Amino acid sequence: MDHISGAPSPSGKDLVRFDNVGLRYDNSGEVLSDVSFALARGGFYFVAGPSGAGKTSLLKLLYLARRPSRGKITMFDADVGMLERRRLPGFRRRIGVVFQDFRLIPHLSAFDNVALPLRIAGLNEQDILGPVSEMLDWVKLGPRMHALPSSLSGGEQQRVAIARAVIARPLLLIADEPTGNVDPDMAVRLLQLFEGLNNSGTTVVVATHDLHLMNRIPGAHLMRVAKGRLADPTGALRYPPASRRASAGLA
Amino acid sequence: MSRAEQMPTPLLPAQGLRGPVPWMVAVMTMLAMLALAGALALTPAARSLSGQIVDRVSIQIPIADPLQRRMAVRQLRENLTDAPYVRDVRVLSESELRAMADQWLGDVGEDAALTLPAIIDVDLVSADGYDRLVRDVRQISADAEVVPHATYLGPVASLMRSLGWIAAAIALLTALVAGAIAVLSARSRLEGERDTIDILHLVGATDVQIARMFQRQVARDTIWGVTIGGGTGLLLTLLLFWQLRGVASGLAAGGSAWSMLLLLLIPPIILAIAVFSARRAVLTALGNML
Repeated sequence: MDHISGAPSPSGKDLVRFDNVGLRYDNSGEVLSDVSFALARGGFYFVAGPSGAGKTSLLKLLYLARRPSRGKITMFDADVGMLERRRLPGFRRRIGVVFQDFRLIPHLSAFDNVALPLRIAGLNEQDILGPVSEMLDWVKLGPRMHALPSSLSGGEQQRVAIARAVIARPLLLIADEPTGNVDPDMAVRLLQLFEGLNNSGTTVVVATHDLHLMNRIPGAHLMRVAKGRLADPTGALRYPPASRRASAGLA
Repeated sequence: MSRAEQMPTPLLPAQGLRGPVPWMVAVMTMLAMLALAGALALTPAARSLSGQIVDRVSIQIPIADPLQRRMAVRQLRENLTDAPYVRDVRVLSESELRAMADQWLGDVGEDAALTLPAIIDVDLVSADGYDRLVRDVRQISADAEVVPHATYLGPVASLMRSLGWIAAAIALLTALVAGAIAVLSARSRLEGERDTIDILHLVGATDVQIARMFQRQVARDTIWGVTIGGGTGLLLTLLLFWQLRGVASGLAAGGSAWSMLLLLLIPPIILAIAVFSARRAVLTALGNML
């Protein structure tokens, strides 16, 4: 098994564990095959790979939009492949997701989109107002909190999507190309947000092509997906370039 | 107004009266109310008619000679009035007979050439007295003919009863169709809002939470429908009952408090059927998603 994290223990410390996981859609061939890895609690991971390699499918398994066709996924100490359907929402509430296409609800304002996870979790409106306003201020969207997604730019929509993903302080944050539509300054700010969450214990998984992004988190781990498999079983590309440089420097 | 004072935007946008559902439900509610009103009016009317005809007979005396005819009528009336099995005897007047003939033959006026049989309506104490009546009538006038009203009005009463049941069945089916409209609408919205539902699922919404949103939406649309349809149906029904009050022979039995209560139950019943059916349909459909 390929442990992506530095030295994860087989259980307990792992937040997520994939054992020989395969995924196929309908009757087509497998889009993911024999994927095995573990994500340690509080780890920071980048997922890289060419388009069509299976990154999005891997993320779908991580944010529980799909169940594996074979193999076993252990998440939050439960076998999610065998999990009863009625228990899935409880697991999903511990996961924050930033979609590449944002997936904002078009008729809801920026405020209502960000407030969605809190409302679903049953918080009352008084308890929602403060954190959501604060979060929107933080992503510089405070003045636009009542705007509909259609009136926001791509970058603004992405910031709303990120705010929605992190508002409930998830245990696992999954982001698919989260900085693709924002300016460099905002990208840095967002990464700082992810880092801050990571420092407070959130496990972060970011799918990206952006090497600069990877270089900004020296302790992060890299998962490389190619042709539906986790490549680099030898671990040569296990760490992002900055880490490797740092390791080389130390050596 | 502060943000806290605002109501959160519904996750599923309501169409209200802009959509077709309230109007379809309105039509169904109105039809259900009218059908039930028909059933409620026809059933007691049929019962009333049955009650009126079961003990009633007509004696026809087709004697051409007016003197003999009058004599036969007088003898029959005198004998039957005192008979223990007879409750009431009434001889139809000449004008009533001519009015009846007018309906079939046109204006017969004072046409002396036209001989009309005399008719005596007899109400029996009970149907058991029929055989004795026939025997006694034959003894007085061999030409007289005893005709039970049930022989020609019975099928009418039976038809009215059947129509009453059919109307009740139509009311029930129409209410169910209103429920089916709500289900189809919910399923259609479910497909249309698939992206929103996926997002709701992924942020941890349960099926019950999502179904409740659809339930509220269906309830809003249906409340509009049953209010409009129920109001219109009630007005038409009141008009119908008001007109029935003018119908002769005591057939108009509609408009009782019980009937009105049943009619007023139609809108909430349709609302309940629609909301419950939509909830079941949505939960079933959501169960097929991950």
